[in-house]
Amino acid sequence: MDVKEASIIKMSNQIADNIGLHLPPEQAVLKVVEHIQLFWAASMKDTLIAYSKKEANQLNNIAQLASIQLDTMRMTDPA
Amino acid sequence: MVDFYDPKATQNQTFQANIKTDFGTPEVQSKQQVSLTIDGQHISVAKGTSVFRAAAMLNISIPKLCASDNLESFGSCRLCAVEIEGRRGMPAACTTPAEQDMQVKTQNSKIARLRKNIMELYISDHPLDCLTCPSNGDCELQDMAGAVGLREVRYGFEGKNHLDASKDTSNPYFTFEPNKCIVCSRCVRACEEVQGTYALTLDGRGFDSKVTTGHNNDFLSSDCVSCGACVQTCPTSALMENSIIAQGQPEHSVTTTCAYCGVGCSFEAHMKGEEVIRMVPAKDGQANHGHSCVKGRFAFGYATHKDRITTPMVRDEIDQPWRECSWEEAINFAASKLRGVQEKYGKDSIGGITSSRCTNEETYLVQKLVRAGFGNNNTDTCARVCHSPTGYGLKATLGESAGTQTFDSVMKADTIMVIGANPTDAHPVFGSLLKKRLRQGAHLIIADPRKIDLANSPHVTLDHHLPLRPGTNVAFINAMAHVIVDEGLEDKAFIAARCQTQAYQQWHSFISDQRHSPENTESITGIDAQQLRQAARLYAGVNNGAIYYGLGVTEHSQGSSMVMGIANLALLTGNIGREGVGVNPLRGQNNVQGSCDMGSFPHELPGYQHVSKDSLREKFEQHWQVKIDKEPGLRIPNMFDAAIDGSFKGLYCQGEDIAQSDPNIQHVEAALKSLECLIVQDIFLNETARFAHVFLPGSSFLEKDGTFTNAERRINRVRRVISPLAGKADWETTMALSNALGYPMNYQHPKEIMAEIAELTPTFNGVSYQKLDELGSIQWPCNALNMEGTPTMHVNDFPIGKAKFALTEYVPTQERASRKFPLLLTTGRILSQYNVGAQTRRTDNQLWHDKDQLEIHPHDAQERGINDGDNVGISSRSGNTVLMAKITERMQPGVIYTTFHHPESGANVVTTDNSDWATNCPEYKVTAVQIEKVSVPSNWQQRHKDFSQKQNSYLPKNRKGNRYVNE
Repeated sequence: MDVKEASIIKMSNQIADNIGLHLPPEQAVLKVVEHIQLFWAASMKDTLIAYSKKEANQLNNIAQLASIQLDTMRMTDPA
Repeated sequence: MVDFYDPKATQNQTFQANIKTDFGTPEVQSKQQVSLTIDGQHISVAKGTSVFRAAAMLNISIPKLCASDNLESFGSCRLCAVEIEGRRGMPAACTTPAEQDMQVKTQNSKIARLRKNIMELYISDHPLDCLTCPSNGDCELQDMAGAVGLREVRYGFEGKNHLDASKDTSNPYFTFEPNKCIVCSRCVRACEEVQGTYALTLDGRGFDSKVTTGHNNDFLSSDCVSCGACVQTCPTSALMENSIIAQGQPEHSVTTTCAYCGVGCSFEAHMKGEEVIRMVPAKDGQANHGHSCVKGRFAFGYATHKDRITTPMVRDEIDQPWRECSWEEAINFAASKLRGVQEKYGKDSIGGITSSRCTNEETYLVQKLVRAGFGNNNTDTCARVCHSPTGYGLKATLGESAGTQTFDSVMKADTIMVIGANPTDAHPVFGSLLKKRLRQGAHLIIADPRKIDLANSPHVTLDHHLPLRPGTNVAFINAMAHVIVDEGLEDKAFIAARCQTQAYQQWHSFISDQRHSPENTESITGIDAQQLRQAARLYAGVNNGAIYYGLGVTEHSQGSSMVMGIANLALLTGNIGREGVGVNPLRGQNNVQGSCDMGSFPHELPGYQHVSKDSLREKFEQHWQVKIDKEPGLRIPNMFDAAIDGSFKGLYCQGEDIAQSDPNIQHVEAALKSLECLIVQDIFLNETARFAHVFLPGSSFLEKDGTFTNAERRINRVRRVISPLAGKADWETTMALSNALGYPMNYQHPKEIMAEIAELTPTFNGVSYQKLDELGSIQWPCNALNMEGTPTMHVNDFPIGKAKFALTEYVPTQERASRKFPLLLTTGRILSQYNVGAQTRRTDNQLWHDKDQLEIHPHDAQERGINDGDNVGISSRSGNTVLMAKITERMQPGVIYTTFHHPESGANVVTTDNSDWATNCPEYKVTAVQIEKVSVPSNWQQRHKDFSQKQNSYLPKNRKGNRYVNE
């Protein structure tokens, strides 16, 4: 795993931990996706999606679901 | 006398606006008015106003020596004696309150005789060396001797006197000559009332009275913080700037804004031609009201230091010598390199970083260059590593990324809670105002791992010190809110009227949970539950509770959560929307607020307008005539990761020293080494420049026009007082680079840049240089709704309508003490140095802090056999360095502290790449470390020295100075 991927995993999990703790999973995922959409560069989103497709075993549950949703959204509305 | 440039002088000639007049005693606030007659003129003044001030308001000049309108009246010189009908004798006008129907005479032969006699006594013990005296031409004693018509001294000079008293030259910036002291005590009172340090006192009685810095010490070894308030108020030459002693009186003056901290003090640059002789805090400065600190007042010599680089330089690789060249060649070289990188690695492979030391106009241009010229949103500012969580947290809760108050608002606060801030060191002029309010009796709560100096200030009572463990801020702030809800102390009416109901209900249910109770969080935070309950009651139980916070809040893995937690607390208690309350982020550098406002963040265009929103982006696209990427760009830490990854290869870095200031330095160095084009624009060859391919000489704040926006959203003018040493102001350099890249920019003056900002930014719509000249400064928002700006935010509503409580669950940082790294390191700042020290290290401020030290609690030191002054190795999972130990009980056991002002210290070799979950603001405040006594520098320090020496050898041989300071 390279530096960039490691950072992305850490950041995704952190966002999920901080946003998602008290929300039903569906809402939590939406919030995490919204945050990533608003604050992350396209290349970072791509790294997350690529990782989640590859293995994703270091992503927590919410972050993993968020990456899948992000992928779907980017396929329908590519940057 | 100095001929002042006063931008307002032509606008309003009334006494109200002419604040530079010394009214002798402070303004009094009262609803009751009294009317009196002075020399036949009638005036109505607030009850409690002195006769002296009333006379000054009528432009009647009464002689004085001991009075000054920034000090309480004292009545020692008696020169302001007047006659009042129906009263015996001649009372001092400064200590006599005006009364209804009072009839005052300020001039007649009897009064004149008395004043002349007083002056005669003063002069009988004063050197008659006016012609060779440094204050010749700017001396109140001299003026008064002239005003009273003193022609002889009948007592002679043979008797006992103080004329042989020895000088104190210990302070590098000013000299104390006691033989010229008239013991008016203005310096002593300024030190007490204005600065709040109490370093000076009057010793002895009668003839033996003298001003002293205490027993057996001089100015330098005393408690004096060298703010300059005493020098400024001294009516003679007893306390005088060394620069005036050496160079004589200035001949003109220009009002500008300090380039140091986020207080943004206004200064008068006193000049001789193109040379700054001294900086004097502007009395009409709306942030500082005539006060200053050692940095702004005295540490400006760096601007003309021999280390300044004034010729552009280029090189192909960083292991090649630098080649000096023309501006044109350097700009074309830079542009061609950037374009080359983009052709090879893609449009998104380059970016730009601005500094909060740059003006609004400069940061605006850099982000415009990146978005329009580079064609991406890879723009960021050093606010990333300090207050980015403030922007995020306050926008999420209050709807605007800014503090809510003016600094003056603190004077109406009843309880002041300072969280993770050290105002007396990092924001000294605000710190003095804060101390003034505390001496008036406001309550003080300090939440900080360290017992900061404010806790031990003279005549300040600290109600509660909550010594929380680093990294537990959110658990602490939640516990405060829990107590307020638990004990029913919330402001229900405010919440119902001003806050979103659903969000509040959700939050209420969250915070009511027992896991947030202080009894349950005590084991996390280390704060005694009862202390915390009492502190919460003290904050919630007064009319006005105000929170001031600093980087101890933001620089954490939960920085944004903590900012939201603070906003929650203010909303919960109704402490928003009026004077005396609020959420007050104390911004680190002078233009942190401004650089954020100007669209430096990769996701936001100027005015916090999100780049992904079509309507907002299109407005800029239309004006800039270019397509803007709708995806956010890379933030600074993301740029470093991408650089190491190989996808980010070019960086334009203006005024920021990322190789010293950013965390996990070895990671930063690896990133910088992997760049193919690094352009550094700075006034000095900073640490980052060692990795650069292009060096573009910067201009100091004295060399350019522009604006800074301080921590209270106050836009202040920066005015050019000398020509740019390298021939270009920074905005001109950015413009040249943009033009060379093919994106045209053709501003003739920064005021045109501000006009564009105003056009595109709703909160700046009403801002212009003309209005800034008229009003002195403007606090944004300034638009059709608030034409003269907005001192207090959210008075009637929030930009988002109603405020939103945010859920802030405590999530422990991954950085925890362990067996291997049992201590927690936290980093911060000190009064005499500023940020990476590039400016202050090149001044005599070095006398106070010539090296970074490691503060250790005696218990931790003893366990490891460490003594004061020992070299101590500090290791973390990121790296290790060596610093000198300072044993102090200011620390709590288990926590150590250092500053990062000196590059060779390598404080940021130890800090980690942990960052805030929402903004990537680094977690400087929590690093798990181990320390041990060592005898040699760390490997990194040795490598740093070797690399710096090698880089020195690449510098042009014909230059003196310009060397890395650690050689």
